[in-house]
Amino acid sequence: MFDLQRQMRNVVKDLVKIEEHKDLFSKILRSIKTKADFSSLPKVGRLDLLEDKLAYNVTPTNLRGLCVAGIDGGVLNRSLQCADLIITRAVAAIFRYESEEGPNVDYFPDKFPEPKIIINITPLNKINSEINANLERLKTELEVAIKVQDEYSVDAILLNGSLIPQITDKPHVSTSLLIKKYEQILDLYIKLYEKSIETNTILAGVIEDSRSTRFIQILNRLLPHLIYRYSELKNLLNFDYRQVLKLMRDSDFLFRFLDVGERTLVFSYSEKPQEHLILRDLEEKGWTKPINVFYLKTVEFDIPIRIEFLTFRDNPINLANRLASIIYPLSSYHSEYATPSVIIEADARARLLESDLEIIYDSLVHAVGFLPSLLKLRRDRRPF
Amino acid sequence: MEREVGTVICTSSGPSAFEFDFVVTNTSLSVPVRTGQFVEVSTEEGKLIAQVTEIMKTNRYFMHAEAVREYERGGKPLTTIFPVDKWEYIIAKAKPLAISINGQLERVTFPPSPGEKVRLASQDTLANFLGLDIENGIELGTVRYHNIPARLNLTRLLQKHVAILAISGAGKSYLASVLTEELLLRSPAKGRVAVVIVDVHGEYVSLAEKVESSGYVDFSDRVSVFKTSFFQIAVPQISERMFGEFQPQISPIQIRELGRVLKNLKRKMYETGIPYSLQDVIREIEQDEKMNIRTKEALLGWLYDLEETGLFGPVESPNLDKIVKPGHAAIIDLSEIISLRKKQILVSYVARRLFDLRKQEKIPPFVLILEEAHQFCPEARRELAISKSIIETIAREGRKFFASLCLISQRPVKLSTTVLSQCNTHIILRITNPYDLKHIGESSEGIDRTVLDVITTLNVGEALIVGEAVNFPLFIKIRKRRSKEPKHALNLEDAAKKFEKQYT
Repeated sequence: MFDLQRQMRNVVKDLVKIEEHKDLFSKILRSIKTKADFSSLPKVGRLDLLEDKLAYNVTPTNLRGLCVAGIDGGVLNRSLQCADLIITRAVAAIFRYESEEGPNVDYFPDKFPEPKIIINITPLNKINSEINANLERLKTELEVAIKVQDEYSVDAILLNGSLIPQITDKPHVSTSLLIKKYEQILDLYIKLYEKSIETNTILAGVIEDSRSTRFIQILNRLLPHLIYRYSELKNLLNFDYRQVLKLMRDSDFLFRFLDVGERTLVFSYSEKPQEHLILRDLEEKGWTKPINVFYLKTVEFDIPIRIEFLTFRDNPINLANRLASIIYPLSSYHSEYATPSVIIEADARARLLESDLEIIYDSLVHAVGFLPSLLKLRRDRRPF
Repeated sequence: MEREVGTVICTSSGPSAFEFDFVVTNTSLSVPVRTGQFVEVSTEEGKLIAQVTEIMKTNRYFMHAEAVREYERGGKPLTTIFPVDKWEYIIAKAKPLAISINGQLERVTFPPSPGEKVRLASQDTLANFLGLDIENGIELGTVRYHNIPARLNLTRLLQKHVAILAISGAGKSYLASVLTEELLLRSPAKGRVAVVIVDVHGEYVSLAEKVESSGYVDFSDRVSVFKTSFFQIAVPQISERMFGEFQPQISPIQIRELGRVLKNLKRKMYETGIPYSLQDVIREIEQDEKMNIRTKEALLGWLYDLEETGLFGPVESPNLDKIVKPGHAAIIDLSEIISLRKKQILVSYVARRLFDLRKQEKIPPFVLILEEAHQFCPEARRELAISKSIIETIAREGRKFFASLCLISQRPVKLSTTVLSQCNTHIILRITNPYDLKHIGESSEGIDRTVLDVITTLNVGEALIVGEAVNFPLFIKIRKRRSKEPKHALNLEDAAKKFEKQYT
């Protein structure tokens, strides 16, 4: 006999207990949000921090006159008996705010671009197959992000996702195909950075659902120093706050910590770039300019968004302020959904449907005839 | 080839032989397609003709009420945040009606393929499908939402009678005038019929007025108006049975006796060549010694009563066999008569005479346009409808002799069911009365619930044609009159002012 009720009670009990501690921790931190200043702390311990306070207010800009592009890509991957069928599509939705009546919107390369079809016949395991598909998506997306700057003069480009490849995009083993593709992606990223510098376009990545703990790590580092400077933080010693920190992600904490219209301090992408698996690869390819990060809370009932931006020429703080003041109004229309409108539109245009993949697969099979390597996996063609 | 409007798409239920959906791809026009429009699609069997039954717009930005409310919470419409207009799609539902295979119409038994292009139906396709007679037809207007003349075949429209049904002010008389114009404008080569209009309210007399202003056609040389003050029913033309119709309470014995008297009078008339009047009939009865005194008194009572109407005389005026001519209209203006009984007597006489003359082929094929038909052939008791019998007779038998009826009524539910069911074409303008709608739904073939709903929303100048004249219920926009319209009557305010000025 199931006793789900008992299990539920235990789960709820644990959750409530943890949430209480998170709330308490956040509440204590909020009490010093505006006054905590760590400029007097030793520089050595905060070289990766570009500002001295935990949070700053953001003033939304009037979008009129601005041109902002949101870029997103979609991918679908179907494993066949001896091949992978991948389709990708990427779109730039270019919003030009010329009047109060709303944006004029253009699309690049098209309103509904033709999906790109890729057949991989190199044998890959499931994980590598996913990496391969993701690298293909990135490739399509980056190509659009680069080319759109030749076609349109935009003030800012917002990518849906990070401004560098994710660790999960890096091949684990030296499969020559994937390594080669990964190298190509790094080259495309660098090309994108260079293009943005050349066209003087603000380039940012907006991460909708970040799982990062970078900000928490910063806190972990700073708190021992701050506790002795700010009496409000003494209460942290009443419980094992380090244990609480271990259980929190940046978004989890910042949802409680930031108020609407506030951003965190700007910090570098990694505390030790030379040790970061991806940044190190980029550096090896000659890219040394920094990528910085901040979080921005735009609406009351959604977690803050993580914003990564390429820093060049301008002071990074000025750039962060400009970027935050653009992203804030773009992401504050819906009280429970904090994604910039340009990215919502690009996502809708780039999204691929299973039916798209099915049509392409059928056409392919129709064109080449019966090939055992193109047979669908048994799990995908069960007779019943 | 007509304008392409969309592409057939797949849905959970179609495309099937009963229904299919298409996405509107031609958005160059603000209204690319309308409900009720006819479209065509190529299929394996031939050209499929369908009618658009429903049009829906969809937009992913407005699919979630909660999200719309949230985004518009700040007072700004969603259109100022997202390019919502670029996500709007129009999906139309269409009902396959027929397949045209080498010009022959067949029932649809096979669906169109997804991806097939949907085009607005061409004039040729539509004319063939609807059964229009583009060359020689009666042009009542244009097919609604199609720039195609609604020209109905004369025989199909009139041979089996037509009924024009609508609420007051919906344009019945206007449509009847258009029909009359069309009949008068026909050339002898196309075949012309005579028109006789029973004009209860004097609405058609303007057709006979001389028109000098440009832009109008002068019909005065083809239209004659006959006022009732000059109208005389020829007593020698009336049989004892017709007297019985004029006086429904007259008994069979009285009719038999009257017949004997009329026979004597007819013999004398042939001998002397002098027609007899109602006074002569009365005198003959008074002097008749064979007749039972009670029968005599009763018969005289009925005849005195008829004499008082002032409608009867020894000769017919006007001569119906002279005034009914091909390509001409004779308007019998009843507007001066207040008594319904008198009107019914006149209509009964005229209708019977016309039918008899036509049977003897003394007059050309004709159309009798009867305004306020429910007054002359009501569903109610026979004694309250002197003219009902002959109208029902023409409705039943007129087809064989090319004697056609065009009945106009604002209360179809009060119109004789026999007559209405014999009118094989119904032209329906706006009707709102639920009883009338139900009656029309029951008596008109091819009308379903959707069509009935549309009838209540028709504008003035729009009509639905169902029945013999068309292959499929057809909504039309009635064309403009070519004759000059009658001057508008006074409005209520002016009529009230005029009265006060006149009598104070």
